[in-house]
Amino acid sequence: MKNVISLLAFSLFFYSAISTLYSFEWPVDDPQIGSTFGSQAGESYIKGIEIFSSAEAVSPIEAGELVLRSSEYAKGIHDLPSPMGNLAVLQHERGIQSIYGHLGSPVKEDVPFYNITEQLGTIGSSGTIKAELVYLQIIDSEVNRYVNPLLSLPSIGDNSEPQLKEVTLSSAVDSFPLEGTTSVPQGSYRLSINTFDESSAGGTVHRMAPYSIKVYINGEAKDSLSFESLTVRDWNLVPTAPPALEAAELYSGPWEFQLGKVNLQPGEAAIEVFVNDFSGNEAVRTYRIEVLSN
Amino acid sequence: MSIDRGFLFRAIAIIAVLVYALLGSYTIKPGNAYIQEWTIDVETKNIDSDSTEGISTEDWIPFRVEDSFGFVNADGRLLENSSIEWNIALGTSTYCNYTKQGSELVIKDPIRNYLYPLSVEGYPVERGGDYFVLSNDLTGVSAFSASGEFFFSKEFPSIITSLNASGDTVGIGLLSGKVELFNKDGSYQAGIRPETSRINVVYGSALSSANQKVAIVHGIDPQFLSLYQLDGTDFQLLNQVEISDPKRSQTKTAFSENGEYLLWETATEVQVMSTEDPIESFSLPLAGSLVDFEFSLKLGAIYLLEEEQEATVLSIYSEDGRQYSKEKFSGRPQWLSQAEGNLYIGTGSLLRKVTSERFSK
Repeated sequence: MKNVISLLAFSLFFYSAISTLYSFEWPVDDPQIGSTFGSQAGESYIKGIEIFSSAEAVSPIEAGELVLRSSEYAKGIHDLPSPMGNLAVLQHERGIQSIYGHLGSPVKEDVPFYNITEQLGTIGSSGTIKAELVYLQIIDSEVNRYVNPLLSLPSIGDNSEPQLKEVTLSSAVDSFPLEGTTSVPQGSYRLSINTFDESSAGGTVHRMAPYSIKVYINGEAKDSLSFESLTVRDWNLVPTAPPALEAAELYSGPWEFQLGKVNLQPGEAAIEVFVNDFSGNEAVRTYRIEVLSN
Repeated sequence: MSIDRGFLFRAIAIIAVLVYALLGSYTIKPGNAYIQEWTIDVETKNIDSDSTEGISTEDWIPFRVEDSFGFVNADGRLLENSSIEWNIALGTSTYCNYTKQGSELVIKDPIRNYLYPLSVEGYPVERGGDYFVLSNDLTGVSAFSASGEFFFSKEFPSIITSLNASGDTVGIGLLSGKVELFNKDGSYQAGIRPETSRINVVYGSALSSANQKVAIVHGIDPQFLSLYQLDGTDFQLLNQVEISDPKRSQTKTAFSENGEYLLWETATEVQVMSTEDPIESFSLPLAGSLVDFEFSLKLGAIYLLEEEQEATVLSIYSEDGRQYSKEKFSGRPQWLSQAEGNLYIGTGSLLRKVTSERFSK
């Protein structure tokens, strides 16, 4: 019962948070998401979203002032090259900055302000990418955080739930992939969850980080993860929400999330895993565990 | 024995005038400001098989021209020549030639024929003899020595807008308006946030290990050049100059080798300021798009390389802002660097060595 109430509260918070933050517009028509905030990128996290579109024009997510523009190519000794290719940064109210990367051509130098209906540029493949897209990043400069753009953009039609592939309990000596009912010796285990969200964009199926993962053990909230925003701790990016792990700690493999330790005492136990995507779709699995005494 | 005081003063005055005429007034005259020593067409010139024999590491001079890069010596012998894959981070005797994807980065030492693979992806730059790889989203940087030794990796809550290294200090300028200073080993030194404008953004920065100074071009409404004196983890504002024609993009900023002069780019000109006496400042007009600039201490000259209608213009000024020469070349500007007081200019596929002569007035 407890977990049901918690879930209801969480869902209510989730949907109300999303609906009240619908303050920005998509920078392109017909947006398709190719990578999401929080996905692993090398030793770090992706801090924005890659957006594909059948349309070319890129517009601001909100009216704003151009505060930085970069060109794709730099060859002078004193120049800094731009892996984000042709780049534009707009300053909005409330300390919000929106960053548009990989644009098709450099943003005009002589236009300091852009209305939401004005074209900022076109989608492109400048910088380190091959596909044609625009990379959108949002920074809350008042609190020095990267904010998940999907929390403040209108929801796009996505009715498929995230893929919840495998949940595993691992100890120093053994590993137990959980099924309907699994017998494990009593002890301390590392809980890893293999899950991802999928989208079809730019003619390819993309795997992306889900929005949140929640774990309940015997009806009590145990571990959780959500990608609302990222901040810097000791010069490394971590999610602002607990457990605030660096990407190298959170991801033990492709889409394999490490969500802390579980202590299992002899008897029966139930592990429930809830995975949400950014559209509110949810995958739920319940695993029964028979914990054997040593 | 007594000496007439009037005579003594006159003698001292005459000696002073003679000393000034012989030494102090040595300068470049306009006709001697641009002397082309040699030109090589890198596309057609071959590397001699014995070209590197008897040439020490210090004699390797890096260059880039259209589509290719390499090393020459002062006599114009082509020591190394390769095609640029997408772009190149070029050191004094090493390089990192990288693809558009910025993957599989390798520092190459052509003298020893060593390869140093780097464990990160992104776009590399060479600063102060070390390599810095900017992450794909410009929010992080990893630092390596020229022999591939890993120094540090840092992520920031804002995108990187400038990067400098001088001596043991590395400076990272950020969109947030702050310059973070680290020691080469990655330990934190200081953070400078000018916060003087309606919007605070760092557009350019420069470090001088010679006199422990930091220069930052920052802000919108108004935009400033701020000059700081560094003292360990402390810093002090020495001077702040408002920029009347600001840019909202990366701004080239550099000190002269001894830190006594500071150059920075604006939308229409290059500003030059003495860091010892900020009243001594002047501006040099830009007619085209600035590709790079150099300050030669040996010759007391400032060089601006610009692109004008797909051609190259090299403007040469004295250290007090008098124009000595303006040379125009066909082909787009590619490269401007100095070594031992000589200038190396890449235009189109040509590499030119240019020197100047000082003559007394």
